Amino acid sequence: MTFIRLLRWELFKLYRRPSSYIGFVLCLLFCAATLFGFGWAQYKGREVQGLKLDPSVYLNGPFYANFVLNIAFFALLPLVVATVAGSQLAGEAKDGTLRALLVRPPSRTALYLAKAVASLLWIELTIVFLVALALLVGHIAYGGGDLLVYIWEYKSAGFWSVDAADWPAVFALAALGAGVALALVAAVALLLSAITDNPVVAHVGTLGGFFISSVLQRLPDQLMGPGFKELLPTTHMNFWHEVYRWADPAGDGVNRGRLLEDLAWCGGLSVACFAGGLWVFTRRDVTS
Amino acid sequence: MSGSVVLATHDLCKRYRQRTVVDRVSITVERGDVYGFLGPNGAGKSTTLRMLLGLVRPTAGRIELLGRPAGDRRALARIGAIVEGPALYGYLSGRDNLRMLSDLSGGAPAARLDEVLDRVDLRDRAADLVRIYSHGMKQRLAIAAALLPRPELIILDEPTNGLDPMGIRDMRALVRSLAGDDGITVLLSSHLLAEVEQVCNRGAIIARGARLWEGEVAELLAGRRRVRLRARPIEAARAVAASLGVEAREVEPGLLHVGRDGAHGEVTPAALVARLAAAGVEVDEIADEAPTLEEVFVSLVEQAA
Repeated sequence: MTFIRLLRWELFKLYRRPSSYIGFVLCLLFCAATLFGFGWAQYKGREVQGLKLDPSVYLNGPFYANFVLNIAFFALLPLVVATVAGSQLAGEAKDGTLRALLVRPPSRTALYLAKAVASLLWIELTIVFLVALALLVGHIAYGGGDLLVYIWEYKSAGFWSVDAADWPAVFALAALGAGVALALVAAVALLLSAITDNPVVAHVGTLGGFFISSVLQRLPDQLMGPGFKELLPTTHMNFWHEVYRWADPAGDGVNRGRLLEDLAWCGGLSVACFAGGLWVFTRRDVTS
Repeated sequence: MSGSVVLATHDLCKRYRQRTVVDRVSITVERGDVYGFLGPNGAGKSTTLRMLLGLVRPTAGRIELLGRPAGDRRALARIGAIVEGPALYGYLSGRDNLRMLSDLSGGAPAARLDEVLDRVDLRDRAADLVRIYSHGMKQRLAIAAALLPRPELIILDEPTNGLDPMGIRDMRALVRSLAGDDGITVLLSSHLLAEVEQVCNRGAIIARGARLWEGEVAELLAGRRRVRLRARPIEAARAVAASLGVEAREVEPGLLHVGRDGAHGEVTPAALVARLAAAGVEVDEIADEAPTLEEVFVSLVEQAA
């Protein structure tokens, strides 16, 4: 009962706090910038990986939406997630409102869990908004059709196409998976937010970790061995890319072993970070 | 005062690495007290209050708060507290702040919200966002939030900080009314001694983390009553005081503060006048007076240093 009450108020605070809407504004800007960039590119018949691609065929609504989701997952959504989750405890500590909450009966554990769940719900709402916006804008600008897929990890497989009848399910699953993967970023941000009284430290620390891991993950194997890359969180955060392989007619299908391993890594790290944050928060002195 | 203990600390300590912030502080607040917790800035007052409320973990010592350990959820439900100034959500209205904080303390009907808003004279502004409130209004709203659960004990940390003279006067009146009209025990931390002297019946003084004194404020001042004496020649007056075994301190040229506790018992102004006259000292002014709390406080802190 206490938890539900706390969760309701945490969501209410997110709803009323102007800074909570930065993510939505960034999603709008990102969609607009991508649309503008596509228009600017003046696509002509272009050869990519031996395939002659005709933009009039592949540049459609599904492609645009999928492109937005994949790039936002790497570039935009971690920023939004780090900002929302990183502000939860450190932001309140900085403003002094954390002590107003902690001198009241609800336990620190209940408060932490309410903040974690509220952050995750808000983050999922932002992702749904981004996906819905991208689909809408893509459909209006480019219309429907098949979805052309290119995944960096499976670059050796080249491009493949998902039928118009199948891509909504694939895309929905991919968006859901991306949302689940971003829980790890939220967990790291919440952990840092429990440690520090300065939300900027939580934001920058989370984003710094995410981008360093992402960059190292993408370095050539000659520079950064595959064994090391397996230890990087971002390597496992892309598990949701596997869902595209369900619809790859020429591919080997989903690598279930890989999918489960990545899910276990990602889930395990997320739970560990959430639990670490809770451990710190329930023991730390509140001196702000 | 019923005499039942509402709050007690026993040898409370807080250390951050090698630095001792609170050093074996023991205080007792009884039901009905308006208890002044005094100390200079950095004395350890806020850290002690934070330990009482479970915000900071003591390194050693014991706390009993309404019969329960520090930070106990059931005890916190019966306490109202403001620690280091009002902590409110600027992007919410005054009423929404109260609704939220009330809900976290178990909830209160809308009528109770109106009642506490009336009490702090903020009902007309309850719909405004808190970020446009003045500091005094925020302080009053924080008090309203602390009053919501009908607390048995209210802890106010430097409640007059940042207030203008009118705000300070209103705050004093409010504290008096909390104790007098509502029967709430008040623990008030402050470095403003006039404030404590005017509203508190009991208190403690801490400096550098250690307790220097605890007891009735009136007794503290009465026990240090003195004779204010203007006399000529001043050296002869001093000699008379010395012959009676009392301390005489020249606080300004020609003015002595003469202690009342002599080597052979209490020295009254009348007895002093008689001895001065016998010694041929001319008395221009003599009066029995109590020191201000500020003087006692400074003297205790200086002794401790």
